[in-house]
Amino acid sequence: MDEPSGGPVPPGLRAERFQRLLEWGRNKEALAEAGEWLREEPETPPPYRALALAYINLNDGEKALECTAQALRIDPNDEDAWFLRAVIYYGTKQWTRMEEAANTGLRLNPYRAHIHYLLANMHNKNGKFDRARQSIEQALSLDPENGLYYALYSYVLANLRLFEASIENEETALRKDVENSQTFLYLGWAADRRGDAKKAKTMMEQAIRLDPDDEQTRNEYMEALQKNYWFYRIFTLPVFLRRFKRWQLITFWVIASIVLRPLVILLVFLYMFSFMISKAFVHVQVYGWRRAPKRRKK
Amino acid sequence: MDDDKELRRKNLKVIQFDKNAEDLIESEKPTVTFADVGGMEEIKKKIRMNFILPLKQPELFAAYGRQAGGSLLLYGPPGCGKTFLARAVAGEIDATFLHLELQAILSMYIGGSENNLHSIFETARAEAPCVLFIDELDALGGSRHGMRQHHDRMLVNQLLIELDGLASFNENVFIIGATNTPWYLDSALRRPGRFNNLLFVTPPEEDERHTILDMKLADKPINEVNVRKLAESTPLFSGADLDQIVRDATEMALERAMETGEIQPLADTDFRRALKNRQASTLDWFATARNYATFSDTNGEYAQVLDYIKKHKIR
Repeated sequence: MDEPSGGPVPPGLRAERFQRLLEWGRNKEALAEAGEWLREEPETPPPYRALALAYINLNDGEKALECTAQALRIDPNDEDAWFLRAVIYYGTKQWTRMEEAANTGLRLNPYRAHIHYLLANMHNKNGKFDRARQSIEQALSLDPENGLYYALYSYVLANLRLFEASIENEETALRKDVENSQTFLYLGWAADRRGDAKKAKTMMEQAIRLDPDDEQTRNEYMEALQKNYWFYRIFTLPVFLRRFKRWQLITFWVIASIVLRPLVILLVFLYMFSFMISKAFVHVQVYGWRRAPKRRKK
Repeated sequence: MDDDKELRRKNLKVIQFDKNAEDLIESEKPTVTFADVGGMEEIKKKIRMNFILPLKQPELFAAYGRQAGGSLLLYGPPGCGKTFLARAVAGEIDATFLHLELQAILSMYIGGSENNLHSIFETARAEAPCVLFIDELDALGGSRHGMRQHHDRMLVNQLLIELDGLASFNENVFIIGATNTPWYLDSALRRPGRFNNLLFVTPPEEDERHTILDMKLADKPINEVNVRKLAESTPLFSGADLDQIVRDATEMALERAMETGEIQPLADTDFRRALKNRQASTLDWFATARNYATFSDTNGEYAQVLDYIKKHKIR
């Protein structure tokens, strides 16, 4: 978007234009807009936060972090800057720093639901499902209308093997938000954890229709398609096996490999075979007989 | 070219909405026609059928219940001539050309943007036959799903109301939308009577690239530049990309001229070096379009894109 010729843009309009450009995914233009904003208001945190947000979208965590540092230099109690730092550290998987930034943000504003949501995501990723549950429940108590939070809650509950509660929250999530691909991703993963491959595929189909340009969504969709082939699914840890803890499964495998070595070798071979065949089927289903497109850096 | 510019300047009118922002809309009578647009035969045929013939043979089309006017959506990678094509449509039917961009109608005041949009449509109706070209339609008529702000939705709704006027008040008003990202458009905009004619504007083919390069090099000192080979080695390059290549090569020749103190003509080596550092900017567009066409195209609207990708072996 070109700069209008009539001198400085009013601050409200600058923020609005920046927001619009971000919504349209025109991140480089949003970055330029934030730069202009900074030139007009060099000693206030909002343009620095805008720059940080644009850099996050452009996957430049280092510069985003620098911008939040500038915002915090001007106002050390800027809760938005702390929130952005938590997002950046989450993206780079620096969990300790992420937790520190999130907790500082929560000290400044304990009612910010999205920080609880971020913490829930972090705990869920690290396998601390009880803590994830606590955090997402806190987020939901602050923002009970957020479908995305219900979707994550459904996923966390599925990870805790509370399948009925997970399905209940899935329904609530779908009542509240059917516009967000991330909501469908969580619901797809939750269905997968519950061993419902058909529903997982349906959810992933919705996710990819909303955001086909996202690589993670594409990969998840292809994986969901793959798991819909029975000959592959039987090797992907059936639901009854998920009741066991990880160490129990490893012990079982070690004993089986000693006692029934030929059977284990046969199973590994069959698993590899079914994996390759189902992957090839999915490729033909999606791309036909053409080669898959090259990965491109955004 | 200068005469053309001069003529355009003479025909230029200014409609000003927001004096503080100094935004404006151009109204002109273009002199370019389809004869100036290289290639794109399929698109031209469809435009003739939908836009031009109903105006030239109104009785015939009236017998089939069709009247002149209507809408068309051009989509494709940036820099491939969507604006030029729209201008040529206006030239072909000798109509006024209004070029509308989002920033020209955005207002800080509630209801101001909608009012500005309505005023532009009123102007188009008053100046009929008129081609109203809405550039970056996704910016104006993006999906209302993603819009959290009430006023954003209001602007899309206003656009829908104006387009629905096509059937009743918009006789001889031709509305051409252009977008690089048709998948972001509100689905309501795509219903019959609105932008239901979707045309894919592809990057220039080899012959067209040859013509473009000839034009770009016309006023420059050149020394045995093999334009045919250059056109051959720039598949998928947009007009804007070709312009950039010529600019890069010119810069290299200029550098040599500065060193030697004599005019140095552009040579094949300059273009080879320029090509090493540039690739077609349309590739990013095709990567995104392929994803939408493969995974999100329930009505098969982007089948043309997939066919093009297959034909040109784009990976």
